[in-house]
Amino acid sequence: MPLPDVNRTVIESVQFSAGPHLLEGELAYAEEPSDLLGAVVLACSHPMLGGNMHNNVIRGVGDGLADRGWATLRFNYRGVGRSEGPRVDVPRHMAEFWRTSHVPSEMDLWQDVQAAVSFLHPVVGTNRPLVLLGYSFGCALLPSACRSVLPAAVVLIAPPLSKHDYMDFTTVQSPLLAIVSDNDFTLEPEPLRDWFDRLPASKQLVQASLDNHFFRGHEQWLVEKIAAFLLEHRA
Amino acid sequence: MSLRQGIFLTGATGLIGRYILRDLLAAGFPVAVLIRSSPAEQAPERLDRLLAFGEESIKRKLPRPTLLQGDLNAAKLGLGTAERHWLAHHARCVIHSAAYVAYSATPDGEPWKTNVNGLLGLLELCRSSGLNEVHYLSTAFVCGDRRGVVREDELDCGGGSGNAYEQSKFAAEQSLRQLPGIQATIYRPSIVVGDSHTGYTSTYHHFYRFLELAVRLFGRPAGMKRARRQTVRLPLSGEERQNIVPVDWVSRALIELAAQPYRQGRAYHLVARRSVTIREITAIVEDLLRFKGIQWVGAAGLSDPTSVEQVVLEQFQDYWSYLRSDVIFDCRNTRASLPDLPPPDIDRGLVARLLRFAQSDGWGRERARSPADRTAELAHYLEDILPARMKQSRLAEALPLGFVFVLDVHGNGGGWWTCRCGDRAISVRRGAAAEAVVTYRMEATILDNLIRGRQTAQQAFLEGHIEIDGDMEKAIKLAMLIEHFLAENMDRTSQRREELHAAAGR
Repeated sequence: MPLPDVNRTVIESVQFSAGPHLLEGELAYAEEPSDLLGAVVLACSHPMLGGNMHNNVIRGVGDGLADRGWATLRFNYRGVGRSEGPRVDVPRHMAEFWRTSHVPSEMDLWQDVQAAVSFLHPVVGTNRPLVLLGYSFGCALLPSACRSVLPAAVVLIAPPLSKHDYMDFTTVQSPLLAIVSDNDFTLEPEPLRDWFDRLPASKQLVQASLDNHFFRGHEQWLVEKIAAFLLEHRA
Repeated sequence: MSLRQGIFLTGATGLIGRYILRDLLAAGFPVAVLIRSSPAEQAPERLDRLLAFGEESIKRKLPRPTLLQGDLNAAKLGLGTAERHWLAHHARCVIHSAAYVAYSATPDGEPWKTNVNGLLGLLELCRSSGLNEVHYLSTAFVCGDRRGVVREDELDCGGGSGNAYEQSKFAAEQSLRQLPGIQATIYRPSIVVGDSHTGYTSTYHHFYRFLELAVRLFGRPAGMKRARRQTVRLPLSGEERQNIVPVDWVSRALIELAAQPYRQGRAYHLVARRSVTIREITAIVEDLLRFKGIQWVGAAGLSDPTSVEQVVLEQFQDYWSYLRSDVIFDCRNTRASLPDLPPPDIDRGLVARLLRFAQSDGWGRERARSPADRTAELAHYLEDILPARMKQSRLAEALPLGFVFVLDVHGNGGGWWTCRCGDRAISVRRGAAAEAVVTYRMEATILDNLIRGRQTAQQAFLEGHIEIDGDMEKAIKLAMLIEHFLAENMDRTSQRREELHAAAGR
């Protein structure tokens, strides 16, 4: 029986080490890649806001780029889902997060991004381009991860500029694509423009009305924008 | 059987029973049905729903049968003198389709209590009412774990070694055959699925459990255009045969056979003439769901199952015996008696109809409760259970003091509720307070899903089932707190209620 319009993307469940913790992830790639374009590591939103690898943006972009020839790795931060992690006092963390929008050690999660890079890049081939992609809080982790590796490109989706220090991006030398929604509750237009103007590298800012901070129903649109940017900058 | 006289039908609220009732009424036979009141619905209302189903499915009005309120497990079936008098004067035969489906023994003695003791009670009543013609709905799987050809006239040759349900039906057949003065005709359907034309079903055992798992594992996630990719290995060869028949055919076949007096006193396998292999069914489902993820590793089993495979193995413990069964049901009695009524083939179109109906029916979970039930349950949960349990939860420490939010719940069971976060407590009142900082808007079915743990708040939001008005940041933070709370407080009361409803189908 013919199987019309069947996706040929493979999604493998994987595990990799991040320091003492074993993290779970999903590696997606085309079943019969004519030419693997490179590797994309996706960093998801804040665990206290439900950030995990099954988020619509992370999953949609990960699978969409895999369809277009990129090997993508999405994963759960330490302590999320089946990823190992230290015990957390959830009520105390939630109370603190309500007040400050932060929890202790949250910025240490960049080590998980780095671990994902260390796992994925050799699998795909270190001669192939590596892309770091963050969604929401995940964006804030990328400058630290860029210290040990020079990605071919960095993609930021809905970086919440009011919540974290994004000036570290002024040290990132990779081409950078930022996609933000006009009505994102985490963004003010002025600080966004100021920050973007200060970025040194080749950069592109895409703004559109994209369902506040959530991009529901716009996943495919994201894939197309990102895929076009990456094709341009993959070298 | 002379079908011009009254027929006493048990089990009319079950899947096969409601088709038998519909078809008997449609054919103009006078029928009396034994129906008991369930925890959520009185017997007359249950009969109303059965009639509504029958009329809707054949698009015409049906005569109302005589309702005998009773209970198979009660003495004299719980019938009063008047009802027993009716049976003695109007009924000519019994069609006994009531059964309790449980694959392992329950603490209160099921499935034997209903399937064996209930039958014995019914037979006692038959004898005292002068009814000696009994049509008994059994199962082809009274043969237990036999392999090879099983003939219709066989019973006591290897049976009794299956699961609790099969054993109880086996014991019931034995009792029936041994009882003097009763002329029993036995009908043994194989695996019964929904209506061959509409896909309708009221129960989701066996075949449907696999179908639902396939949808969950491989179905297209909401908002995405393509299905997930993963591989699940099964400890099967794929060549195991499954004998599947649709419920509408089982009903028609039973009534046709019962209407022929010279066919009585025998056993009939109501089975498909050609079994399909699991590989064939899987290919159809893979095609329908557009996935390819099943790997057959043979009966030797999996030495290192993944977590997903572990879940599959555990969830279907009750059904592995059916999957591994290589039995062939001989059906020469049925074939000879019903030459013009062959069972429909299990093909792509039929599986698609079954799948479509099951999905639209929420795999039976929505229909199980009436709107009135849901209204009462949601209000009870929000106004009583939520505040009480929140007080006992450490998550109450994280509640933002003085924060007010509103739940705007649409549809059956819906309404407005204002929730105020106090000092380690939450209070919930009907109505919408103007000072609310956030309003969550959703359908009652979604709220119900959240409470029962079928869906997380995040999933529901990302799938567009929850809308938020007001301070988005606070709304998301609070939603996560509630999500943690719901996860640690799965509503046991509701689960119990679902179990009661499932059992009420008998």
